[in-house]
Amino acid sequence: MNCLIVANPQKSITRELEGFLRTNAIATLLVEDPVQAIEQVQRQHFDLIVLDARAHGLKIDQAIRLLKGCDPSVRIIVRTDENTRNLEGRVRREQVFYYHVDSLGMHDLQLAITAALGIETLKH
Amino acid sequence: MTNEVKILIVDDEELLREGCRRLLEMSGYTVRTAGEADSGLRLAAADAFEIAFVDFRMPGMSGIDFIRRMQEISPATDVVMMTGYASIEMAVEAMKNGARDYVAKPFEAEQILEIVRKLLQNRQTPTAPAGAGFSFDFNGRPLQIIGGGGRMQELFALIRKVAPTESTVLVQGESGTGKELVAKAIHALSPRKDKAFFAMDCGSLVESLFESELFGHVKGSFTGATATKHGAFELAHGGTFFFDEIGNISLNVQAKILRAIQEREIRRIGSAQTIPVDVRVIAATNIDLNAAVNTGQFREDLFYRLSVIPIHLPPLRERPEDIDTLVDHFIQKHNKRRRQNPIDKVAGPVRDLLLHYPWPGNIRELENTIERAAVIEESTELTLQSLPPHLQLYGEKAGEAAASELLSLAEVEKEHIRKIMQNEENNISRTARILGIDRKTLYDKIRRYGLSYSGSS
Repeated sequence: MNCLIVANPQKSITRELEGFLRTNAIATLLVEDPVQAIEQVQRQHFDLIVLDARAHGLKIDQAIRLLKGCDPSVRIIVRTDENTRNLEGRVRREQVFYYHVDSLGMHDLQLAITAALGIETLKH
Repeated sequence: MTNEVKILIVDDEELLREGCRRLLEMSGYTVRTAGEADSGLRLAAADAFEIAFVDFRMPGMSGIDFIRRMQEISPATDVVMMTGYASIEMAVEAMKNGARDYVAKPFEAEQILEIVRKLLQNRQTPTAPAGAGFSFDFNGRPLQIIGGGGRMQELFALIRKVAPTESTVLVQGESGTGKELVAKAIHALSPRKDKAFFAMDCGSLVESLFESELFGHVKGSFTGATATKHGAFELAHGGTFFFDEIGNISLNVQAKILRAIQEREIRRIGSAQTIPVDVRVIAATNIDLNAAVNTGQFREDLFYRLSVIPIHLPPLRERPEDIDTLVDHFIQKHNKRRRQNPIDKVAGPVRDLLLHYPWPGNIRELENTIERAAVIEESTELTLQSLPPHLQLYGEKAGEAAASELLSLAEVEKEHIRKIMQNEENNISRTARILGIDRKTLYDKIRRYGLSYSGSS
């Protein structure tokens, strides 16, 4: 299993997320924006992409469409630290696997990752 | 089964333009070229091109402006930006403005051919012959349900009848029969067609997350506009909500969905406030919900609320009259990756086998089979050798069975599943993938046929 994180590497939730995936022996690659993600997805298959809805470079719905265009089988979780109705609506229209608002806590995000990767038990 | 594919090249560098033209013509494509943007746009206005390769920097017009004009003149053309000043920013800018791909100069011949193959593969599915299907426009994208037999014609008539109403619809059918496509057709023909269509797979998330996805979530001291999750039901307001595999929902969430449908309001997790929602619900299932009601796994009141209009999709094995059309349709679709030797014939024994195989994964499995064959087959005729091993094996077994005894369809299916599980060392995921069904359906079949396994997933 391998996972691509698209987020600002300076943010603590990114570091926490990266650490969590590594602890669970999930190969993890961190990039800073959706454009770099597209380049990576063109090179190799990822089982899951955790995408920051507010990452710079591309509009989020456009980024999802392009990523799915490169690999229709990839599962995408979108997370955001600041949500709006418009943002959530645009993301949901693209049929992502899960939409996460950071204020709901890391545990929900970890559960969603578990479900997306089809694994039973994760280490914390 | 061949289609002419037209490609436009617009570049002021003659050497590159002519090099590309020769390369693409040698690969069987029809190519027109232009040395400047204006003449390229005139060509695009006069003819329908599938793909246009366009230089990012041309005298008189930028590549971005060219893309914008192309979108007005010929929106169906996929534009590929070529740039000698390769930068990711440029590529992003081009793609933001509607380009489908980009390539940095200098490029290898294979890069261009690969881009063409990929774009052609992604283009819309070819339409079936007139009378062999039901076509509709879904959010600007043409979609089609294929089927010329009596049962499918009845289905199309039912879709036309129920679409304009507000009734909930329950689509029942085995995995791979096209339940989501039917839901999209109902939405597309309804007065809600310009509003959102949200689909949710009810089996993929644990209950707490599924509930949060559906109804939204606010949390304690974090409540506030930017920390609120609205949820799919609220955001589908005015549109259509499609619950895929609704039989997988827990009784607790079933009660909440019933309330949302009946009261036309929802409440986010962690909030006491109710929010009015106007959503048409279409649900789908591959299990017998009636039986689930009898065993207490599915609420009777929700079942009746959902099945105001039940639609049953027949499995592929019950409509063999459509198999030939589907096979030809999928060959045509996947021929796009075989420009130089498209498959134009299906060997007699292959047609027989495809017709008599029980297709436990239904149309999805049939398409996977043809896609694989289109990659593997070396000649222009689809032969037994290009079919997956389990299908070849089925052909041999069916021949032996016919010679010795007559087996029922269920017996053939049971034996077929047992054999593939054995070949795949009881790996459920791999077996399900080969059969073209989901893991849950495979587990159901294993249970129903009393097959034993002790492998991994």
